[in-house]
Amino acid sequence: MIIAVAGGKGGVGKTIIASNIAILLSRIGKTMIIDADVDNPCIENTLKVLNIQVLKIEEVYRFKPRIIIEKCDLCKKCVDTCPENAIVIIPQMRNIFIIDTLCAGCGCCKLVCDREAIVEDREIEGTVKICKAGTIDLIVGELKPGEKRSYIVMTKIIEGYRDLYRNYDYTIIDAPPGTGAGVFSILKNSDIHIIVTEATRLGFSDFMKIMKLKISKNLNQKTIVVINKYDLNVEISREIENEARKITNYVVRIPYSDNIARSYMIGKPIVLEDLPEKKYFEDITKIILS
Amino acid sequence: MIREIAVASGKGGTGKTFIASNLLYYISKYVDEKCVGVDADAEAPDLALALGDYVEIYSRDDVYESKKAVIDYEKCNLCLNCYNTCRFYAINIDSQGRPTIVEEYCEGCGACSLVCTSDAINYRVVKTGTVIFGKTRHGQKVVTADLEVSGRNTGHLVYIAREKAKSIPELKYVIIDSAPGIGCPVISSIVGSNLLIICVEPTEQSYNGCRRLIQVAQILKVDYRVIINKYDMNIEMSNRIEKEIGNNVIGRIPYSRDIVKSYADMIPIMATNSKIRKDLEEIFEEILKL
Repeated sequence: MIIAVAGGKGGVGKTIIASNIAILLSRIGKTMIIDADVDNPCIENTLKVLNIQVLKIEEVYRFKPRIIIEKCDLCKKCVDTCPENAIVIIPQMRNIFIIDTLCAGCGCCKLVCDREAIVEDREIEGTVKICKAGTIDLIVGELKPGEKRSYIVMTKIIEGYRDLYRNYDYTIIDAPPGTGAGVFSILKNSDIHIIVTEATRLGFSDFMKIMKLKISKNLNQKTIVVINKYDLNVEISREIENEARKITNYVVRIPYSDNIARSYMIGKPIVLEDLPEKKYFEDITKIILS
Repeated sequence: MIREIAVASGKGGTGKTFIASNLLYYISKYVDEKCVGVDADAEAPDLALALGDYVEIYSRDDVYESKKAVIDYEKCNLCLNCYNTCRFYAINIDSQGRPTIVEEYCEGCGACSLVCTSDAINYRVVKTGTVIFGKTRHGQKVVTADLEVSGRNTGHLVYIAREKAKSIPELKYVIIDSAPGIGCPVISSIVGSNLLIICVEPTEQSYNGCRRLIQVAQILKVDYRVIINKYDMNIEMSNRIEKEIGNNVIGRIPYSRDIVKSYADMIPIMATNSKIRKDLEEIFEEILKL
């Protein structure tokens, strides 16, 4: 079973929910968490108390073309084909070069070159870490700062490790914030959606955008809407709940809690402690299993 | 000369829109009315909302600059060259052995059509998103980049929104409310700005994001300053951040229910009598001195 945790807005509590339900699910089956927020992966800090062991680090590469000037006859085919206009030619100086920041790594230039003047180099875009946190396995993607192609690292962990995470009873994907292509692919490829939002105007607006994504793309999977910090504004919480009820019967409200905030800060998920707040995560887990 | 100030954070939900909306409000009321906000968080845009929402729309431009491959199965000879060439996981093989396009991964680069032996691949142009320009209830001009749900090419949409903003005659200030993270839309928000304001909260998760973003700022050679938001949630950690980052920390903001309320009422704190107002004013004065 693949469970996606998403929410349009950042900082609404996606990783808190993902880590707590992972611990509860790991008590009944083989569980993995994928941290797909490659711009800012947080799962390791959030599960700090479990003494995370890093088993393997793999680099994620992008195709990076290199031009062998001696072989190039300046035919310009690559320049005309490049969808990003990343290749510049200066005929007077018999020079041709690639603007690396524009290059998307599609490989078109190499395909059209009939002089074999473009060879394949590679550029590190980020890393994928395979870790263990107690009985939970983790895959953590991380974009290298300064690189902009988050999607290369994200598609790598979602698609490149599919054979691995298929073997788990429960795979929880902690999605990045937003409503774009990356979040869509995660939602599309999962069995259950947990949509997290908070009871603020901005949280509501971003929630509506993710609802629009689900409805327009016919993502009809079982959905649990979690309204985090619902007591910040009970009126807005009610409005969110009314919208949520249009697509699902499962709405879980979590009040603002110093205990949850503290558990996040120290990296010890609340379900590991005997505190009343653990009930909310037990409720979510019950719905997942129902 | 136009001064562009970007507000960003490695991690989502740490107060970017809060700072950006109030800074824009402050400048428009007390410094120079020739200013504009750009909402560059295209997957979850909220800047106009934080300023009371749009009350007048000057323009709304749909941007059609994304391309997706389309396979003509009347022509396709199932050679699967396309499948073997695509570097973005954007072509799958269905149960009948036919290649299919995974739209959310398709970059529209054209590599598949270059290797197609039966001329079966064409492209269709799809909507990237919308750039909205208007005035908010509290009187500020805001340009919003609004990405289509499940869309890509956020960076390009942000670029268009920034250009739109800068076309305002005699403009003095542009405040850019960036997307969370460090990837493409963030780099597109920061590049060419005079100053980057980074919002951080005293948690490991947020501080990690802050440090990643500082690396990006250094690579892009953009001057940056850091604001510690909700500093009193963990004073020890706030002190550590301040010590490590040093003089680039430009201010601290305490946790306040007033901020939550201001969001619920859609009134910027700077338009209220909250005590937080004074803290913000001091920070904004510092920012504008730079």
